[in-house]
Amino acid sequence: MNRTSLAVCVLMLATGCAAKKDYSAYFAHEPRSILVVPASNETTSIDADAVYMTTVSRPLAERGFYVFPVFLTDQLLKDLGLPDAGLVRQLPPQRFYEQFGADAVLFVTIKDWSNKYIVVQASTTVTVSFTLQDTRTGTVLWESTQTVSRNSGDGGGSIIGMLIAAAVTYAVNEMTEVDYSPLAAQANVLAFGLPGQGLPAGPYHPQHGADRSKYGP
Amino acid sequence: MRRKDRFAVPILGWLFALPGILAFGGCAPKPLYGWGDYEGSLRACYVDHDESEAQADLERTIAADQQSGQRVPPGAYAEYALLLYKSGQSQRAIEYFRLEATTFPESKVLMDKLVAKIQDRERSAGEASDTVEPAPDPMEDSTGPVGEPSDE
Repeated sequence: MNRTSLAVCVLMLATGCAAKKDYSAYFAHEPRSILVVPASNETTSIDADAVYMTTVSRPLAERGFYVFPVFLTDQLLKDLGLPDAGLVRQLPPQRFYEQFGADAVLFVTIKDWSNKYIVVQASTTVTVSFTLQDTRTGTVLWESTQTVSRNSGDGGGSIIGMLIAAAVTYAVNEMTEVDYSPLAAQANVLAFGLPGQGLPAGPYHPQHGADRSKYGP
Repeated sequence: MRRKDRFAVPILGWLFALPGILAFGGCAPKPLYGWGDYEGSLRACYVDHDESEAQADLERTIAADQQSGQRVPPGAYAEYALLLYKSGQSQRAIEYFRLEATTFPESKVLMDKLVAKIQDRERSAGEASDTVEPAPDPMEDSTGPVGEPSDE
C-alpha cells in the first residue's frame, strides 16, 4: 500500500536529522574531480559490485563533480596490476593523483545487498558506505553510510496499492530476478545529495559555493 | 461509469505518490547532463560484458546530446574512446580522448597520457598506422571532430 511512499519519506526525514558532520577537511581540500575506484563487495551477492558500479557516476556528476569514467578506470587499474578492490585500497592515495590527476578518490563498500521474503512480502535492502579521500594528502574528506529498503508485493490485490508502488518505487520483477540498481541509485542520491549530510555542490553545480552554510559552521 | 473509474484510480495513485516524488525532486533538480543510455552502456560493460552494445549506447547518447544541445556527461567521450580503441579504431579513440579533455579539463592529465600511450603503440606497431584512414564517420559532419557542448 502507500506504506512504501511513507517509508521513503520517513527514511529521508530520519537521515536528514542525523548528527552534524564536520566539513572543515572537505573545504580545505575541496575536490573538482573524483575518481571512483571499483567497489568492495562485503556481501555474498557476487555481482553486487559490478551492478553497483553502473549506478554511481550519474548522481555524483549531477552533484557537480567531474567523475572519471568508471569502466576506463577499472581497466586502467587492471593494467596497473590491480585486478580487485582490495588491492586498489592498499595504494597510497597519492598514486591516484599521479596516475589519474584526480583530486579525490571515492572508496565504496557494499555492506548489504539482499532480498528477504517474509510471507508474501519481499524486502530488498541495499547498504553502501562511502569514504572520500584527498589524493594529495590522504585526508578523509567525507564519509557516509546509506541504507535504502523497499518492500514489494505488499500491494496485494489492491490496484491502488500496486499503482502507488509502481509510481513511487521502480518496477520490481517480482518473483524472478531482483534489480538492485534503482535502490543502489537511490542510496547514492541520498548519500551525496542530503543537505548538511552529503557532498557540498561541486564546481559544475549551480549551487557551488552558495550552499556552504548548509555544511557545518 | 466504468470509464470514470479507470481515470479515478491513476489520479488517486499519483496523489498518494506526490510526497515521495516531491521529496526526490528536491534531491535532484533538473539534470546537468543528458545521460541518455550512458548507464545502459555501463551495464553492458559491467554486467553483460557486451562492449559493442556499450559502444552503440554511447554513440547514441553523444549524438542525442549534440542534437538536443544538452551537455554530454563526464566520462562519456572517454568511455567511448576506450571502446573505439579496443575495437581497433585508434585514430578515433584519440579524437574522443581529446574531446573529453577539452570538455572537462579535470581529465586532461589522464587523457593526455592515454593519447600518448596510443600514439606510442601506433608508432612501434610500424608504418601501417598512418596509411589506414578510418572510414568516414556518421557522427562527424562538416566541422570535423564532433562539436563540443556549450562551454561553461
